[in-house]
Amino acid sequence: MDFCSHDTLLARLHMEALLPVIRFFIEETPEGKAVTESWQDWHWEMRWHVMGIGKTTLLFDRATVGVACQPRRLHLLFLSPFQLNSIFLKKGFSLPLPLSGFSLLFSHLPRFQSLADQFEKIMRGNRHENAPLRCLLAIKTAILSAAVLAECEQESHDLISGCTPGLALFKLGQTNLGWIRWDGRHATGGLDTLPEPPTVTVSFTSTALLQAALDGQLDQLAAVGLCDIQVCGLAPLADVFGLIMDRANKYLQP
Amino acid sequence: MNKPPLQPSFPKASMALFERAAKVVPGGIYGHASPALTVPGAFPYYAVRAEGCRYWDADGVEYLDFMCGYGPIILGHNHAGVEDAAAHQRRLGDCFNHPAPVMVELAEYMVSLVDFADWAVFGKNGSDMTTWAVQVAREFTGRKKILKASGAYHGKDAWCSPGHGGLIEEDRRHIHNFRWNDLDALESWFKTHGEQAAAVILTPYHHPAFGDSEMPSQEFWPTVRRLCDKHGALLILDDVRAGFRLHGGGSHRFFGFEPDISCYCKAIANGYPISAALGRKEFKAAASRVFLTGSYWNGAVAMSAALACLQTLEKEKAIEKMAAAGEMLRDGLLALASKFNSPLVISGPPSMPSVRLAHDDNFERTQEFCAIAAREGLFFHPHHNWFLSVAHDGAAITESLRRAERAFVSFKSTVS
Ligand SMILES: Cc1ncc(COP(=O)(O)O)c(C=O)c1O
Repeated sequence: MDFCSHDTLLARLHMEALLPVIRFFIEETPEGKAVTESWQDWHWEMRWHVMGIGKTTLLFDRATVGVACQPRRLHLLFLSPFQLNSIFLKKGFSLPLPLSGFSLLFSHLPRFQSLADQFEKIMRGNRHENAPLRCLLAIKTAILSAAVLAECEQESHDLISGCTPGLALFKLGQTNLGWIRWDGRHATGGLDTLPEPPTVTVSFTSTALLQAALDGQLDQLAAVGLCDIQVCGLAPLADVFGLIMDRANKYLQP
Repeated sequence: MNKPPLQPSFPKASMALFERAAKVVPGGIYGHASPALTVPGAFPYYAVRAEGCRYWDADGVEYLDFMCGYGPIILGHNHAGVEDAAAHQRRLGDCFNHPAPVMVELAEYMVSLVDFADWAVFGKNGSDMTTWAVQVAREFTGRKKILKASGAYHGKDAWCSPGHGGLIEEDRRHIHNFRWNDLDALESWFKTHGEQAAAVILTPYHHPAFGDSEMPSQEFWPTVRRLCDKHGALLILDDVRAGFRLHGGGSHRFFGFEPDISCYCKAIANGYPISAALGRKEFKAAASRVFLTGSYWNGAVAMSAALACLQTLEKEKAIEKMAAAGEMLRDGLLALASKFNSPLVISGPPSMPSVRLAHDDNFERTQEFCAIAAREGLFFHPHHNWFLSVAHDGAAITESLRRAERAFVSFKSTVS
């Protein structure tokens, strides 16, 4: 098994964990929707393409617009993971190559940046402000990050490789937060439709518990014993994914 | 958002104690007894007293006990013969500056029971012995590498703990794993690491948690023995769980092979804290060089209990009784499963069966079934092998099956 360089791993975390959570932010949360409310153009997409890694697309499409035509596309090619990471880390900025939608580059890229700033403000802001939302975004990022780490990071791969294959579903009350699947060779993750029934389901009964778990402050065994967290099915798989989720902080500082 | 309501029959005193414990004990209850490893909210958390094959939880609810303290209770809780021996020694004293004479007696007795063994040492827990045996193998061979089966439990120490907290990479640098019964993998490991191999440590058959038990294939033990001999590695038998439940002379007799060192614990003193490692004379000098002690390791009460327990096992034909009870339980459960069209998979030896519902690879429905069984006063574990004791007589099994039938009825109604 070849493991990624730090830059590639970070780029994959940005592409496969952070961007999908930003997508969730704008599509599913009032705070995210508020950021994009003022936009005039509501039918465009941003395709992020990093050489050697792949593509992630963010579609900005409001259902009420009801446009049937293809969205306008800003397709950005990053020549290296490093180039992509520097945008997210705000460490210098070298313009990616716009493969299509050149005319959108200067009008729409700043839109994304203001969106990302808002996302970052919520994630890094005052702990007590927006706590439930921050918690939701953080757990979703952690879930998707775990799938990337299990694929690309030696320590995480070592942890998961001894596990029975299966899918772990994480829930807050009745709401699905996301899932991670290990097929014995590869890990994948998602925030929406499950590709198969869960092998183990971990349900948190409150946001406060979830926050404590994310902060590493939760006595998880006690919480399970108290039925504050319910674990149903193959618990060891969820334990290992939990450990890998904790590792995401090493790369993506909240 | 609220917690789901606890089962109506949930032992409230258990939860009240656990709420207090959660404030002052990490995990509330840690280790294998953690509620997180059963079905929280459906199983009792605290036990108050026990007798024979039954125990009573903090709410006074009676359970037929199919875990036997996770193995140590082999003659039944509170066995008169063992209790008398322990009480006699307690009156004389337990923790002296020296071992009591009973230590010599116990060592001699165990060496006489276990055919390949020439010496015995004692500790308190299984981990004390498995870890020490690994050190003896390293001392004897001057090598570092240890091979074990993936998913096998050998204790809580860093080299083999199934946990992850507090470990460093170096703890397991020389610990290797292969899949149980995969003889190609075994051969190939020896090809690569044979010259550095200190020991292979294995349980007599594979009894992983969250998995079916797996018996050794016909060629398994002869191949392991041959490869260890060929490469000069020790064969350590971890008989902590199965020892003296399958065969009165140790589980290697049940499977027909000879280890170099074997470790015992659970069944040797009917619940009193003691473990033992026995070995061949070739390894005695090396064993004497590996430091071994603990504040309570010379405890005379546990040694007296062990001697009484092992002698009673032999006298009472315990192995045959437990096997017969296990078969009766297995056959009865399979018949109920077929009557209620909820097929079961039962693996492992009858006195230590691993039981789960068929087509339930993630154990979710088994957890539901065991939660319902708990309401009927049956302590059936959803993802660990069960244990029977000599106290599980025909009447107890008949009663268990009656309760199990009620559990199947309720389970069926939840499914439909
Ligand atoms: C096979 C085996 N080895 C070692 C151990 C460790 O024993 P202890 O928990 O007494 O340290 C156990 C305990 O369950 C076991 O089942």
